[in-house]
Amino acid sequence: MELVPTAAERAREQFSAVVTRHGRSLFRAARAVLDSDADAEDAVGEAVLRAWQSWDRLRTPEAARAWLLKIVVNCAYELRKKQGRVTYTDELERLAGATEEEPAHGLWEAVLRLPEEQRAAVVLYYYEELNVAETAKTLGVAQGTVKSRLSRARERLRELLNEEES
Amino acid sequence: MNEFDKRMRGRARAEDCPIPADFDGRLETLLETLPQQKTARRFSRPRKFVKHILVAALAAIFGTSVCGVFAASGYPVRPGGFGSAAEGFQPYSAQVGASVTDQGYTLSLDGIGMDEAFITLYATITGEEPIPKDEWGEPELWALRLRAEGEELEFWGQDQETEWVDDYTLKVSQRCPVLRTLPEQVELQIYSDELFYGVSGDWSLNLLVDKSAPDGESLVVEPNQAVTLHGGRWKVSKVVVAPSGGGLVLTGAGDYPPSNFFIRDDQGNYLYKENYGTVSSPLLPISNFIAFYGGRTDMEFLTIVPYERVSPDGEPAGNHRVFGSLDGLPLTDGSAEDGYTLLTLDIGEEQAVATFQTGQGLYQYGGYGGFGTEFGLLDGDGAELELGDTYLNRDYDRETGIWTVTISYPDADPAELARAERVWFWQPDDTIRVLEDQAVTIDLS
Repeated sequence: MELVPTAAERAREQFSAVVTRHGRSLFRAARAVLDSDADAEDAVGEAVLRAWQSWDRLRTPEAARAWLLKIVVNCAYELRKKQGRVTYTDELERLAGATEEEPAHGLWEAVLRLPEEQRAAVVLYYYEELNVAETAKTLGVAQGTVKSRLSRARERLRELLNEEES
Repeated sequence: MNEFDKRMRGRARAEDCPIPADFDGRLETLLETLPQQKTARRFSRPRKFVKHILVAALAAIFGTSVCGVFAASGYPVRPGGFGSAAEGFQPYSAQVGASVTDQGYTLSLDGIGMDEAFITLYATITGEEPIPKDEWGEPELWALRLRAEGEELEFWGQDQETEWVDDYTLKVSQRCPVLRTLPEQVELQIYSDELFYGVSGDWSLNLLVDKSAPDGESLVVEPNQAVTLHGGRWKVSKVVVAPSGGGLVLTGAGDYPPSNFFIRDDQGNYLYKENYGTVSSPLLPISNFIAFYGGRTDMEFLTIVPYERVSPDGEPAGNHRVFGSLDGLPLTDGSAEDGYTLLTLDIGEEQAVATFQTGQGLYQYGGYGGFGTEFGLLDGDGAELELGDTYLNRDYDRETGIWTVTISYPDADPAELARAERVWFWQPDDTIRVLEDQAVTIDLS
């Protein structure tokens, strides 16, 4: 006799499959906000638990990736807040003077040198290949804000990666 | 998407980010040990799918009295509306009263304001279940979308305000600029396929809106004039001044437009401007709505005036810090004209609020306020206070040129705060140089 999984078991299997599929994306998004791999893993763990608790509220499985990304970004920002960092709640960047820097050795290294707000937008846009609207939804900001952050990030990435204007 | 973006995405795929060793294993373990869900799946009673399609000629124009109507009915009305006291709420407004229900949530469109510059929606959302909130208590609401004459209108979500009536009822105001010229009778579709995060459905309302209201003049010009701004070529595709506000649409291929230009009217007045937003798609040029304030409907021309920031000795733009005693306000230095003066500082238990006056070297350009500043608290020896988590917020009042800068420190020790004797703030090193030789005049006659 074949045992038929219960609704709860099916939900658990479905959830696990979705999280496994997108696990690395969740890590990248969290790492964009946080300063260490360990913190990013903590944020992913918290996000997975929260997502599981409200999994039955997600009515469209196709939206799962964006939904998970939003939760992990929120968890990462909360963790960052707890860590005693100065958080800029407006769009302006720290007004420190420019300093000479070595070129980055790879894209990820360059991304980590961006201001925090730009990092999250860049990771979602370039690594997760979300469009601007999706990135805005995930970050909970207006599309114009995302475009502004991406625009500033592009300039910085060009410098850090010695990329020519295109 | 430009070539640079394509290269970055290609590199992102190829290089990825380093994933910690055995991250996948730890994730798998977590998934195997997921706790029981705290909330059991609830059986909702079958929901009625009620869809009201209203096609109505909206001739009911309320004129200025509409402000009072909406304020009294609980909408999140900003003082003076979304624009300024002068532009205010949109006088071309009509009551609608249409609603559509799906997934247990009813979207009711109560009113609409529309002219040549902006469209504002006033809606109420009610739920059979509580409206989803995020962890900060904010509604997980997506912007309502809108089509005019069958074509998508952009920018929805840029300006949206909500106000809770109770857990089941939410008032929503939402505004977007109009990038193109619309006919007097406009077929509008207001719709959403995901009203709240993760709540998909079909909420759609069709309206016929008459925007040929009798109140107020508008200036609408589509000059389609090419301009060059800091080496980039753009087209001024629309200039509008309407009761709800003013703006110009810059359209061009490629990246985003420069922000370092001013707008000047035909009487020599600089108009305060802000970039409202950008619309782009893979195939079409990018359109940018640059909102401006104080424009007149009888302007004969506008001038776009580029500027550059000039730093002493050609050094990269930077800032220096100004230090002073808390007893010595107002506080500034020799750069005040092109920077800021600390006027007041109120140090409370959980936050410190400072006000800074923008110098005339910036403010003369239509109330331009620069990038703002930030400050810190020091003890008598000049050492930074240990305040734990700090959060910074800046607000700018273009009418007065005053920045209000708030630093919150919810975990600060009162004893540490009591040691505050001095303050510092960032002061810009650079100045504005207007490039009159590159100015472009846009004929509006």
